[in-house]
Amino acid sequence: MTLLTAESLVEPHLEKGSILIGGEPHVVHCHYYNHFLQTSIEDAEGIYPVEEVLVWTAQEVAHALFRNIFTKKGIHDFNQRKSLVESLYSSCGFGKISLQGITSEGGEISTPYEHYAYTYAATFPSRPKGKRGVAYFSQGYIAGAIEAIYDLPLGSIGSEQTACLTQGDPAVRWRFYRLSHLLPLSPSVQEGKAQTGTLVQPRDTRVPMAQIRDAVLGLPLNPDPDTGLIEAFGVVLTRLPGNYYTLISERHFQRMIQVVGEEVRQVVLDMLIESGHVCAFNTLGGIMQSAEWDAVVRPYLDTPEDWIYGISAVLPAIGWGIVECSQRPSAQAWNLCLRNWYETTALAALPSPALDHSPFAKGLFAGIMALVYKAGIAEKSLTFDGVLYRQLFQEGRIYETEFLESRLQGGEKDVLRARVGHV
Amino acid sequence: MKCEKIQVCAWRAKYLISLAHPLSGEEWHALRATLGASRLEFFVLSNGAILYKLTLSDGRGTLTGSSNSPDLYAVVPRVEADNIIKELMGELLSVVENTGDRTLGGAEGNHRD
Repeated sequence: MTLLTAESLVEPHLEKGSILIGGEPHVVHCHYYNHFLQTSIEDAEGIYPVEEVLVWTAQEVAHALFRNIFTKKGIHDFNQRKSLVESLYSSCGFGKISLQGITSEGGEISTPYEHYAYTYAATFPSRPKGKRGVAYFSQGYIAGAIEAIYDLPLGSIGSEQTACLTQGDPAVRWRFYRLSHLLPLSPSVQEGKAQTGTLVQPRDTRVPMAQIRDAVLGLPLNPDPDTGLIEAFGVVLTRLPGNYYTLISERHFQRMIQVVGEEVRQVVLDMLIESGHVCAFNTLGGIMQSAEWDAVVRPYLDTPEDWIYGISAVLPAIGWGIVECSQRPSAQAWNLCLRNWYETTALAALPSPALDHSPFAKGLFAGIMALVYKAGIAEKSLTFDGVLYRQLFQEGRIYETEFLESRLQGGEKDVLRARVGHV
Repeated sequence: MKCEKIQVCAWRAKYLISLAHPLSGEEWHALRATLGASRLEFFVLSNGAILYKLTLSDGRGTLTGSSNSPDLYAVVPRVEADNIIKELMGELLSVVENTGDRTLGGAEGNHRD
Protein backbone atom coordinates (compact mmCIF):
# COMPACT_ATOMS: atom_id res chain seq x y z
CA MET A 1 0.00 0.00 0.00
CA THR A 2 1.28 3.44 -0.88
CA LEU A 3 1.34 6.03 1.88
CA LEU A 4 0.54 8.79 -0.58
CA THR A 5 -3.01 9.56 -1.62
CA ALA A 6 -3.81 10.79 -5.10
CA GLU A 7 -5.49 13.85 -3.60
CA SER A 8 -2.28 14.84 -1.83
CA LEU A 9 -0.57 15.17 -5.21
CA VAL A 10 -2.94 17.90 -6.40
CA GLU A 11 -1.22 21.30 -6.15
CA PRO A 12 -3.29 24.40 -6.95
CA HIS A 13 -1.15 27.40 -7.94
CA LEU A 14 -3.29 30.47 -7.41
CA GLU A 15 -0.75 32.84 -8.94
CA LYS A 16 -0.87 30.87 -12.19
CA GLY A 17 -4.49 29.77 -12.22
CA SER A 18 -3.22 26.24 -12.65
CA ILE A 19 -3.44 22.88 -10.93
CA LEU A 20 -0.36 20.70 -11.07
CA ILE A 21 -0.13 16.96 -10.54
CA GLY A 22 3.34 15.51 -10.92
CA GLY A 23 4.48 18.75 -12.54
CA GLU A 24 1.80 18.46 -15.25
CA PRO A 25 -0.96 21.10 -15.44
CA HIS A 26 -4.37 19.43 -15.14
CA VAL A 27 -7.64 20.95 -16.34
CA VAL A 28 -11.27 20.04 -15.81
CA HIS A 29 -13.41 19.27 -18.86
CA CYS A 30 -16.60 17.33 -19.47
CA HIS A 31 -17.38 14.26 -21.56
CA TYR A 32 -19.12 16.28 -24.28
CA TYR A 33 -15.98 18.30 -24.91
CA ASN A 34 -13.76 15.23 -24.67
CA HIS A 35 -15.80 13.38 -27.27
CA PHE A 36 -16.17 16.33 -29.58
CA LEU A 37 -12.43 16.93 -29.74
CA GLN A 38 -11.48 13.26 -29.96
CA THR A 39 -14.10 12.38 -32.56
CA SER A 40 -13.17 15.39 -34.69
CA ILE A 41 -9.57 14.22 -34.74
CA GLU A 42 -10.56 10.59 -35.21
CA ASP A 43 -12.50 11.56 -38.32
CA ALA A 44 -9.11 12.05 -39.99
CA GLU A 45 -8.17 8.39 -39.58
CA GLY A 46 -8.20 7.87 -43.34
CA ILE A 47 -5.79 10.79 -43.76
CA TYR A 48 -3.10 9.99 -41.21
CA PRO A 49 -2.67 7.46 -38.34
CA VAL A 50 -4.61 9.29 -35.61
CA GLU A 51 -3.42 6.90 -32.88
CA GLU A 52 -0.02 8.53 -33.19
CA VAL A 53 -1.66 11.73 -31.95
CA LEU A 54 -4.35 10.47 -29.59
CA VAL A 55 -2.40 7.64 -27.93
CA TRP A 56 1.20 8.75 -28.11
CA THR A 57 0.51 12.20 -26.68
CA ALA A 58 -1.11 10.66 -23.60
CA GLN A 59 1.88 8.33 -23.26
CA GLU A 60 4.32 11.25 -23.25
CA VAL A 61 2.36 13.14 -20.61
CA ALA A 62 1.81 10.15 -18.32
CA HIS A 63 5.43 9.08 -18.54
CA ALA A 64 6.57 12.54 -17.42
CA LEU A 65 4.07 12.99 -14.62
CA PHE A 66 4.58 9.58 -13.03
CA ARG A 67 8.33 9.73 -13.37
CA ASN A 68 8.22 13.08 -11.59
CA ILE A 69 6.01 11.77 -8.81
CA PHE A 70 8.05 8.60 -8.24
CA THR A 71 11.31 10.54 -8.20
CA LYS A 72 10.17 13.44 -6.03
CA LYS A 73 8.31 11.27 -3.55
CA GLY A 74 11.00 8.60 -3.46
CA ILE A 75 8.68 5.75 -4.45
CA HIS A 76 10.76 2.81 -5.66
CA ASP A 77 8.57 -0.21 -4.96
CA PHE A 78 6.75 -1.39 -8.11
CA ASN A 79 3.59 -2.31 -6.22
CA GLN A 80 3.46 1.08 -4.53
CA ARG A 81 3.93 2.74 -7.89
CA LYS A 82 1.11 0.67 -9.41
CA SER A 83 -1.17 1.49 -6.52
CA LEU A 84 -0.53 5.19 -6.96
CA VAL A 85 -1.23 5.03 -10.70
CA GLU A 86 -4.51 3.20 -10.06
CA SER A 87 -5.48 5.73 -7.43
CA LEU A 88 -4.64 8.79 -9.53
CA TYR A 89 -6.41 7.28 -12.53
CA SER A 90 -9.66 7.12 -10.56
CA SER A 91 -9.09 10.38 -8.72
CA CYS A 92 -8.92 12.20 -12.06
CA GLY A 93 -12.17 10.59 -13.20
CA PHE A 94 -10.67 8.32 -15.86
CA GLY A 95 -12.37 5.20 -14.44
CA LYS A 96 -11.04 2.16 -12.60
CA ILE A 97 -8.09 -0.02 -13.51
CA SER A 98 -5.95 -2.68 -11.90
CA LEU A 99 -2.29 -2.99 -12.83
CA GLN A 100 -1.72 -6.18 -10.86
CA GLY A 101 -1.28 -8.32 -13.99
CA ILE A 102 1.24 -5.94 -15.52
CA THR A 103 4.98 -6.61 -15.62
CA SER A 104 7.89 -4.79 -17.22
CA GLU A 105 7.08 -6.77 -20.36
CA GLY A 106 3.51 -5.48 -20.42
CA GLY A 107 0.27 -7.43 -20.01
CA GLU A 108 -3.46 -6.95 -20.35
CA ILE A 109 -5.86 -4.63 -18.52
CA SER A 110 -9.61 -4.84 -18.64
CA THR A 111 -12.23 -2.57 -17.07
CA PRO A 112 -15.95 -1.85 -17.41
CA TYR A 113 -15.32 1.75 -16.34
CA GLU A 114 -13.29 4.03 -18.58
CA HIS A 115 -14.39 7.65 -19.08
CA TYR A 116 -14.37 7.87 -22.86
CA ALA A 117 -15.81 4.43 -23.52
CA TYR A 118 -18.43 4.52 -20.78
CA THR A 119 -19.81 7.94 -21.69
CA TYR A 120 -19.63 7.27 -25.43
CA ALA A 121 -21.51 3.97 -25.09
CA ALA A 122 -24.17 5.68 -23.02
CA THR A 123 -24.60 8.62 -25.38
CA PHE A 124 -23.93 7.57 -28.95
CA PRO A 125 -24.95 4.65 -31.20
CA SER A 126 -22.69 1.57 -31.16
CA ARG A 127 -19.61 1.62 -33.34
CA PRO A 128 -19.07 -1.12 -35.92
CA LYS A 129 -16.88 -4.03 -34.84
CA GLY A 130 -14.22 -3.27 -37.42
CA LYS A 131 -13.59 0.19 -35.95
CA ARG A 132 -11.24 0.47 -33.00
CA GLY A 133 -12.43 1.45 -29.52
CA VAL A 134 -12.56 5.00 -28.20
CA ALA A 135 -10.26 4.65 -25.16
CA TYR A 136 -7.23 6.25 -26.84
CA PHE A 137 -6.31 8.49 -23.94
CA SER A 138 -6.27 5.73 -21.33
CA GLN A 139 -4.33 3.47 -23.66
CA GLY A 140 -1.51 5.97 -23.93
CA TYR A 141 -1.76 7.10 -20.33
CA ILE A 142 -1.39 3.55 -19.02
CA ALA A 143 1.45 2.78 -21.45
CA GLY A 144 3.33 5.85 -20.19
CA ALA A 145 2.60 4.90 -16.60
CA ILE A 146 3.96 1.37 -17.14
CA GLU A 147 7.17 2.84 -18.55
CA ALA A 148 7.50 5.09 -15.50
CA ILE A 149 6.71 2.27 -13.06
CA TYR A 150 9.51 0.11 -14.45
CA ASP A 151 11.94 2.97 -15.15
CA LEU A 152 11.75 2.27 -18.87
CA PRO A 153 12.56 4.94 -21.44
CA LEU A 154 9.73 6.88 -23.02
CA GLY A 155 8.39 5.04 -26.04
CA SER A 156 9.41 1.54 -25.00
CA ILE A 157 5.87 0.21 -24.47
CA GLY A 158 3.52 -0.45 -27.37
CA SER A 159 -0.21 -0.82 -26.92
CA GLU A 160 -3.49 -1.65 -28.57
CA GLN A 161 -7.12 -1.57 -27.55
CA THR A 162 -8.69 -4.97 -28.07
CA ALA A 163 -12.25 -4.51 -26.76
CA CYS A 164 -14.59 -1.60 -26.12
CA LEU A 165 -17.94 -0.87 -24.52
CA THR A 166 -18.82 1.09 -27.64
CA GLN A 167 -18.90 -2.12 -29.66
CA GLY A 168 -21.02 -4.13 -27.28
CA ASP A 169 -18.14 -5.66 -25.34
CA PRO A 170 -18.68 -5.91 -21.57
CA ALA A 171 -15.40 -4.12 -20.85
CA VAL A 172 -12.62 -2.06 -22.31
CA ARG A 173 -9.46 -4.09 -22.80
CA TRP A 174 -5.95 -3.09 -23.81
CA ARG A 175 -2.78 -5.06 -24.47
CA PHE A 176 0.64 -3.61 -23.61
CA TYR A 177 3.97 -5.00 -24.79
CA ARG A 178 7.67 -4.17 -24.86
CA LEU A 179 8.98 -2.83 -28.13
CA SER A 180 12.39 -3.61 -29.60
CA HIS A 181 12.67 -0.04 -30.90
CA LEU A 182 11.49 3.12 -29.15
CA LEU A 183 8.46 4.94 -30.47
CA PRO A 184 9.32 8.45 -31.74
CA LEU A 185 7.86 10.28 -28.75
CA SER A 186 8.83 13.65 -27.28
CA PRO A 187 9.15 14.48 -23.60
CA SER A 188 6.20 16.44 -22.22
CA VAL A 189 6.46 20.23 -22.10
CA GLN A 190 5.18 19.97 -18.51
CA GLU A 191 4.47 23.49 -17.20
CA GLY A 192 5.40 24.98 -20.55
CA LYS A 193 6.12 28.70 -20.55
CA ALA A 194 4.14 29.28 -17.40
CA GLN A 195 3.43 32.84 -16.33
CA THR A 196 1.86 34.40 -13.28
CA GLY A 197 -0.97 36.84 -12.92
CA THR A 198 -3.51 38.25 -10.53
CA LEU A 199 -7.21 37.58 -10.35
CA VAL A 200 -8.34 41.18 -10.58
CA GLN A 201 -11.39 42.30 -8.61
CA PRO A 202 -13.49 44.56 -10.87
CA ARG A 203 -14.85 47.62 -9.09
CA ASP A 204 -18.23 47.56 -10.74
CA THR A 205 -19.50 44.31 -9.24
CA ARG A 206 -20.00 42.70 -5.87
CA VAL A 207 -18.99 39.30 -7.31
CA PRO A 208 -16.06 38.31 -5.05
CA MET A 209 -13.65 36.88 -7.60
CA ALA A 210 -11.04 35.39 -5.26
CA GLN A 211 -13.64 34.04 -2.86
CA ILE A 212 -15.41 32.23 -5.69
CA ARG A 213 -12.16 30.83 -7.06
CA ASP A 214 -11.22 29.52 -3.63
CA ALA A 215 -14.65 28.02 -3.00
CA VAL A 216 -14.63 26.26 -6.37
CA LEU A 217 -11.16 24.91 -5.62
CA GLY A 218 -12.70 23.31 -2.54
CA LEU A 219 -15.63 21.73 -4.38
CA PRO A 220 -15.76 17.97 -4.00
CA LEU A 221 -15.04 16.72 -7.52
CA ASN A 222 -14.80 13.19 -6.21
CA PRO A 223 -15.10 10.09 -8.34
CA ASP A 224 -17.81 7.55 -7.66
CA PRO A 225 -16.09 4.86 -5.58
CA ASP A 226 -17.58 2.09 -7.71
CA THR A 227 -16.82 3.51 -11.16
CA GLY A 228 -14.00 6.04 -10.81
CA LEU A 229 -16.10 8.50 -12.83
CA ILE A 230 -16.79 12.07 -11.66
CA GLU A 231 -20.41 13.15 -11.92
CA ALA A 232 -20.97 16.86 -11.36
CA PHE A 233 -22.93 19.73 -12.91
CA GLY A 234 -25.00 17.22 -14.89
CA VAL A 235 -21.99 16.04 -16.88
CA VAL A 236 -19.17 13.55 -16.40
CA LEU A 237 -15.94 15.37 -15.66
CA THR A 238 -12.27 14.56 -16.02
CA ARG A 239 -9.24 16.27 -14.56
CA LEU A 240 -7.00 15.58 -17.52
CA PRO A 241 -3.50 16.86 -18.29
CA GLY A 242 -3.99 20.11 -20.19
CA ASN A 243 -0.98 19.37 -22.38
CA TYR A 244 -2.88 16.41 -23.79
CA TYR A 245 -5.67 18.60 -25.16
CA THR A 246 -3.25 21.21 -26.43
CA LEU A 247 -0.86 18.84 -28.10
CA ILE A 248 -3.48 16.66 -29.78
CA SER A 249 -5.01 19.87 -31.19
CA GLU A 250 -1.64 21.20 -32.37
CA ARG A 251 -0.45 17.89 -33.78
CA HIS A 252 -3.71 17.24 -35.58
CA PHE A 253 -3.49 20.73 -37.09
CA GLN A 254 0.10 20.10 -38.21
CA ARG A 255 -0.61 16.65 -39.64
CA MET A 256 -3.64 17.81 -41.57
CA ILE A 257 -1.73 20.66 -43.17
CA GLN A 258 1.22 18.37 -43.96
CA VAL A 259 -0.95 15.73 -45.61
CA VAL A 260 -3.83 17.69 -47.13
CA GLY A 261 -2.28 21.11 -47.63
CA GLU A 262 -2.91 24.71 -46.65
CA GLU A 263 -6.50 24.59 -47.84
CA VAL A 264 -7.44 22.56 -44.77
CA ARG A 265 -6.07 25.13 -42.30
CA GLN A 266 -9.32 27.03 -41.74
CA VAL A 267 -11.37 23.84 -41.60
CA VAL A 268 -9.30 22.51 -38.69
CA LEU A 269 -9.24 25.90 -36.97
CA ASP A 270 -13.02 26.08 -37.23
CA MET A 271 -13.26 22.64 -35.62
CA LEU A 272 -11.03 23.74 -32.73
CA ILE A 273 -13.09 26.92 -32.28
CA GLU A 274 -16.19 24.74 -32.30
CA SER A 275 -14.67 22.68 -29.48
CA GLY A 276 -14.69 25.90 -27.45
CA HIS A 277 -18.39 26.37 -28.18
CA VAL A 278 -19.08 22.79 -27.13
CA CYS A 279 -17.19 23.38 -23.91
CA ALA A 280 -18.92 26.69 -23.13
CA PHE A 281 -22.29 25.11 -23.80
CA ASN A 282 -21.87 21.86 -21.90
CA THR A 283 -19.20 22.34 -19.25
CA LEU A 284 -19.76 26.01 -18.41
CA GLY A 285 -23.48 25.92 -19.11
CA GLY A 286 -23.72 22.91 -16.82
CA ILE A 287 -21.80 24.76 -14.13
CA MET A 288 -24.00 27.87 -14.43
CA GLN A 289 -27.12 25.80 -13.81
CA SER A 290 -25.99 23.69 -10.89
CA ALA A 291 -26.24 23.41 -7.14
CA GLU A 292 -22.55 24.23 -6.91
CA TRP A 293 -23.07 27.52 -8.78
CA ASP A 294 -26.07 28.32 -6.61
CA ALA A 295 -24.02 27.67 -3.49
CA VAL A 296 -20.94 29.64 -4.46
CA VAL A 297 -21.70 32.24 -7.14
CA ARG A 298 -25.43 32.85 -7.52
CA PRO A 299 -25.86 34.93 -4.34
CA TYR A 300 -23.71 37.67 -5.89
CA LEU A 301 -25.28 37.90 -9.34
CA ASP A 302 -27.27 41.06 -10.00
CA THR A 303 -26.69 41.68 -13.71
CA PRO A 304 -25.79 39.67 -16.84
CA GLU A 305 -22.27 41.08 -16.55
CA ASP A 306 -22.00 39.51 -13.10
CA TRP A 307 -22.51 36.11 -14.71
CA ILE A 308 -19.48 36.81 -16.89
CA TYR A 309 -17.43 37.85 -13.89
CA GLY A 310 -18.64 34.81 -11.96
CA ILE A 311 -17.69 32.26 -14.61
CA SER A 312 -14.36 34.08 -15.13
CA ALA A 313 -13.60 33.52 -11.44
CA VAL A 314 -14.33 29.80 -11.82
CA LEU A 315 -11.84 29.20 -14.64
CA PRO A 316 -8.58 29.47 -12.63
CA ALA A 317 -10.06 27.01 -10.15
CA ILE A 318 -10.40 24.39 -12.87
CA GLY A 319 -6.86 24.99 -14.04
CA TRP A 320 -7.43 26.96 -17.22
CA GLY A 321 -5.47 30.11 -16.31
CA ILE A 322 -6.36 33.59 -15.12
CA VAL A 323 -9.03 35.66 -16.85
CA GLU A 324 -8.90 39.40 -16.38
CA CYS A 325 -11.81 41.49 -17.60
CA SER A 326 -10.14 44.62 -19.00
CA GLN A 327 -13.37 46.60 -18.95
CA ARG A 328 -16.98 45.97 -18.05
CA PRO A 329 -18.49 43.51 -20.56
CA SER A 330 -21.61 44.40 -22.50
CA ALA A 331 -23.87 42.58 -24.92
CA GLN A 332 -21.80 44.16 -27.69
CA ALA A 333 -18.28 43.30 -26.58
CA TRP A 334 -16.15 41.76 -23.88
CA ASN A 335 -12.47 42.70 -23.73
CA LEU A 336 -10.39 40.33 -21.70
CA CYS A 337 -6.84 39.38 -20.99
CA LEU A 338 -5.59 35.85 -20.31
CA ARG A 339 -2.58 35.00 -18.16
CA ASN A 340 -1.15 31.51 -18.27
CA TRP A 341 -3.99 30.23 -20.45
CA TYR A 342 -3.22 26.52 -20.49
CA GLU A 343 -3.35 26.06 -24.24
CA THR A 344 -1.10 29.05 -24.93
CA THR A 345 1.36 28.16 -22.20
CA ALA A 346 1.92 24.68 -23.63
CA LEU A 347 2.15 25.88 -27.24
CA ALA A 348 4.62 28.60 -26.28
CA ALA A 349 7.03 25.93 -25.08
CA LEU A 350 7.14 24.21 -28.47
CA PRO A 351 9.96 25.12 -30.86
CA SER A 352 7.65 26.14 -33.72
CA PRO A 353 3.95 25.67 -33.06
CA ALA A 354 1.66 25.72 -36.06
CA LEU A 355 -1.09 27.40 -34.03
CA ASP A 356 -0.40 31.09 -33.44
CA HIS A 357 -3.22 31.60 -30.96
CA SER A 358 -5.59 29.51 -28.86
CA PRO A 359 -8.55 28.53 -31.05
CA PHE A 360 -10.20 26.89 -28.05
CA ALA A 361 -10.26 30.28 -26.29
CA LYS A 362 -11.83 31.89 -29.35
CA GLY A 363 -14.74 29.50 -29.22
CA LEU A 364 -15.03 29.49 -25.47
CA PHE A 365 -15.37 33.21 -24.82
CA ALA A 366 -17.75 33.73 -27.74
CA GLY A 367 -19.68 30.84 -26.24
CA ILE A 368 -19.91 32.51 -22.84
CA MET A 369 -21.20 35.70 -24.49
CA ALA A 370 -23.83 33.68 -26.35
CA LEU A 371 -24.99 31.98 -23.14
CA VAL A 372 -25.29 35.24 -21.25
CA TYR A 373 -26.50 37.72 -23.85
CA LYS A 374 -28.19 35.70 -26.56
CA ALA A 375 -29.68 32.83 -24.57
CA GLY A 376 -30.26 35.00 -21.50
CA ILE A 377 -29.09 32.56 -18.84
CA ALA A 378 -29.14 35.40 -16.29
CA GLU A 379 -32.87 35.94 -16.78
CA LYS A 380 -34.24 32.43 -17.15
CA SER A 381 -33.26 28.82 -16.87
CA LEU A 382 -32.20 27.34 -20.19
CA THR A 383 -32.79 23.92 -21.68
CA PHE A 384 -29.47 22.70 -23.00
CA ASP A 385 -30.29 20.58 -26.04
CA GLY A 386 -29.59 20.45 -29.75
CA VAL A 387 -32.12 23.18 -30.48
CA LEU A 388 -30.43 25.69 -28.18
CA TYR A 389 -26.98 24.73 -29.49
CA ARG A 390 -28.05 25.46 -33.06
CA GLN A 391 -29.58 28.77 -31.99
CA LEU A 392 -26.37 29.84 -30.31
CA PHE A 393 -23.58 28.36 -32.40
CA GLN A 394 -24.82 27.37 -35.81
CA GLU A 395 -27.44 29.23 -37.84
CA GLY A 396 -28.11 31.56 -34.93
CA ARG A 397 -24.48 32.34 -34.09
CA ILE A 398 -23.79 36.03 -33.53
CA TYR A 399 -20.65 36.17 -31.37
CA GLU A 400 -17.05 35.66 -32.39
CA THR A 401 -13.72 36.28 -30.70
CA GLU A 402 -10.63 37.93 -32.09
CA PHE A 403 -7.13 37.94 -30.66
CA LEU A 404 -5.77 41.46 -30.30
CA GLU A 405 -2.50 40.16 -28.88
CA SER A 406 -1.18 36.61 -28.66
CA ARG A 407 1.73 35.23 -26.68
CA LEU A 408 2.34 32.95 -29.64
CA GLN A 409 2.97 35.98 -31.83
CA GLY A 410 5.33 37.70 -29.43
CA GLY A 411 2.81 39.28 -27.07
CA GLU A 412 3.31 39.40 -23.32
CA LYS A 413 -0.21 38.11 -22.73
CA ASP A 414 -3.27 36.98 -24.65
CA VAL A 415 -5.68 39.84 -25.25
CA LEU A 416 -9.06 39.01 -26.75
CA ARG A 417 -12.27 40.70 -27.71
CA ALA A 418 -15.44 38.63 -27.89
CA ARG A 419 -18.07 40.62 -29.74
CA VAL A 420 -21.04 40.66 -31.99
CA GLY A 421 -19.50 39.83 -35.33
CA HIS A 422 -20.18 38.98 -38.92
CA VAL A 423 -20.10 35.23 -38.56
CA MET B 1 -42.96 23.25 -6.42
CA LYS B 2 -41.89 23.63 -10.05
CA CYS B 3 -39.95 21.22 -12.22
CA GLU B 4 -38.44 21.89 -15.64
CA LYS B 5 -36.07 20.05 -17.91
CA ILE B 6 -32.87 22.05 -18.36
CA GLN B 7 -30.53 19.68 -20.17
CA VAL B 8 -31.12 16.67 -22.34
CA CYS B 9 -28.99 14.33 -24.43
CA ALA B 10 -29.44 10.76 -25.67
CA TRP B 11 -28.22 9.44 -22.32
CA ARG B 12 -29.55 11.62 -19.55
CA ALA B 13 -31.78 14.51 -18.63
CA LYS B 14 -31.22 17.21 -16.03
CA TYR B 15 -34.12 18.82 -14.21
CA LEU B 16 -34.39 22.00 -12.16
CA ILE B 17 -36.77 21.59 -9.24
CA SER B 18 -37.65 24.87 -7.56
CA LEU B 19 -38.93 24.81 -4.00
CA ALA B 20 -40.16 27.62 -1.81
CA HIS B 21 -37.17 27.30 0.52
CA PRO B 22 -33.86 25.44 0.63
CA LEU B 23 -34.19 21.88 1.92
CA SER B 24 -32.88 21.53 5.44
CA GLY B 25 -30.41 18.87 6.48
CA GLU B 26 -33.23 17.05 8.23
CA GLU B 27 -35.24 17.02 5.04
CA TRP B 28 -32.31 15.69 3.01
CA HIS B 29 -31.99 12.82 5.48
CA ALA B 30 -35.73 12.19 5.32
CA LEU B 31 -35.58 12.16 1.54
CA ARG B 32 -32.79 9.65 1.60
CA ALA B 33 -34.81 7.37 3.84
CA THR B 34 -37.97 7.55 1.77
CA LEU B 35 -36.12 6.95 -1.50
CA GLY B 36 -34.58 3.72 -0.19
CA ALA B 37 -31.01 2.59 -0.63
CA SER B 38 -29.23 5.73 -1.71
CA ARG B 39 -26.17 7.65 -0.58
CA LEU B 40 -26.31 11.13 0.91
CA GLU B 41 -23.15 13.23 0.97
CA PHE B 42 -22.77 16.76 2.22
CA PHE B 43 -19.88 19.16 1.99
CA VAL B 44 -19.28 22.39 3.83
CA LEU B 45 -17.80 24.87 1.35
CA SER B 46 -15.33 27.61 2.16
CA ASN B 47 -18.08 30.25 1.96
CA GLY B 48 -20.08 28.43 4.62
CA ALA B 49 -22.69 26.97 2.27
CA ILE B 50 -23.51 23.28 2.54
CA LEU B 51 -23.68 21.26 -0.66
CA TYR B 52 -25.87 18.15 -0.64
CA LYS B 53 -25.69 15.25 -3.08
CA LEU B 54 -28.12 12.36 -2.97
CA THR B 55 -27.23 9.37 -5.15
CA LEU B 56 -30.22 7.26 -6.07
CA SER B 57 -29.87 3.49 -6.04
CA ASP B 58 -29.36 1.31 -9.12
CA GLY B 59 -27.81 4.06 -11.24
CA ARG B 60 -31.04 6.06 -11.26
CA GLY B 61 -29.25 9.36 -10.97
CA THR B 62 -28.45 12.12 -8.51
CA LEU B 63 -30.16 15.00 -6.76
CA THR B 64 -28.06 17.98 -5.65
CA GLY B 65 -28.85 21.16 -3.80
CA SER B 66 -27.35 23.66 -1.41
CA SER B 67 -28.22 25.29 1.86
CA ASN B 68 -28.50 28.72 0.27
CA SER B 69 -30.78 27.98 -2.66
CA PRO B 70 -34.32 26.61 -3.02
CA ASP B 71 -33.32 25.05 -6.34
CA LEU B 72 -32.49 21.36 -6.68
CA TYR B 73 -30.97 19.60 -9.69
CA ALA B 74 -31.82 16.04 -10.66
CA VAL B 75 -29.79 14.18 -13.27
CA VAL B 76 -31.46 10.95 -14.34
CA PRO B 77 -31.28 8.41 -17.20
CA ARG B 78 -33.39 9.75 -20.05
CA VAL B 79 -35.31 6.56 -20.73
CA GLU B 80 -36.53 6.35 -17.14
CA ALA B 81 -36.75 10.10 -16.55
CA ASP B 82 -40.52 10.47 -16.35
CA ASN B 83 -40.96 7.75 -13.74
CA ILE B 84 -37.98 8.79 -11.62
CA ILE B 85 -38.92 12.47 -11.61
CA LYS B 86 -42.53 11.64 -10.76
CA GLU B 87 -41.37 9.54 -7.81
CA LEU B 88 -38.87 12.19 -6.75
CA MET B 89 -41.44 14.96 -6.83
CA GLY B 90 -43.88 12.89 -4.82
CA GLU B 91 -41.31 12.14 -2.14
CA LEU B 92 -40.12 15.75 -2.05
CA LEU B 93 -43.66 16.96 -1.53
CA SER B 94 -44.19 14.44 1.22
CA VAL B 95 -40.93 15.34 2.98
CA VAL B 96 -41.56 19.08 2.82
CA GLU B 97 -45.11 18.69 4.14
CA ASN B 98 -44.06 16.36 6.94
CA THR B 99 -41.33 18.61 8.28
CA GLY B 100 -43.79 21.41 9.01
CA ASP B 101 -43.13 25.11 8.96
CA ARG B 102 -40.16 25.56 6.61
CA THR B 103 -39.39 28.99 7.91
CA LEU B 104 -38.13 27.34 11.09
CA GLY B 105 -35.32 25.54 9.26
CA GLY B 106 -34.04 22.01 9.74
CA ALA B 107 -31.86 20.07 12.11
CA GLU B 108 -28.57 21.18 10.56
CA GLY B 109 -29.83 24.73 10.18
CA ASN B 110 -29.98 26.41 6.83
CA HIS B 111 -29.94 29.91 8.17
CA ARG B 112 -27.08 32.00 6.93
CA ASP B 113 -28.28 35.19 8.55
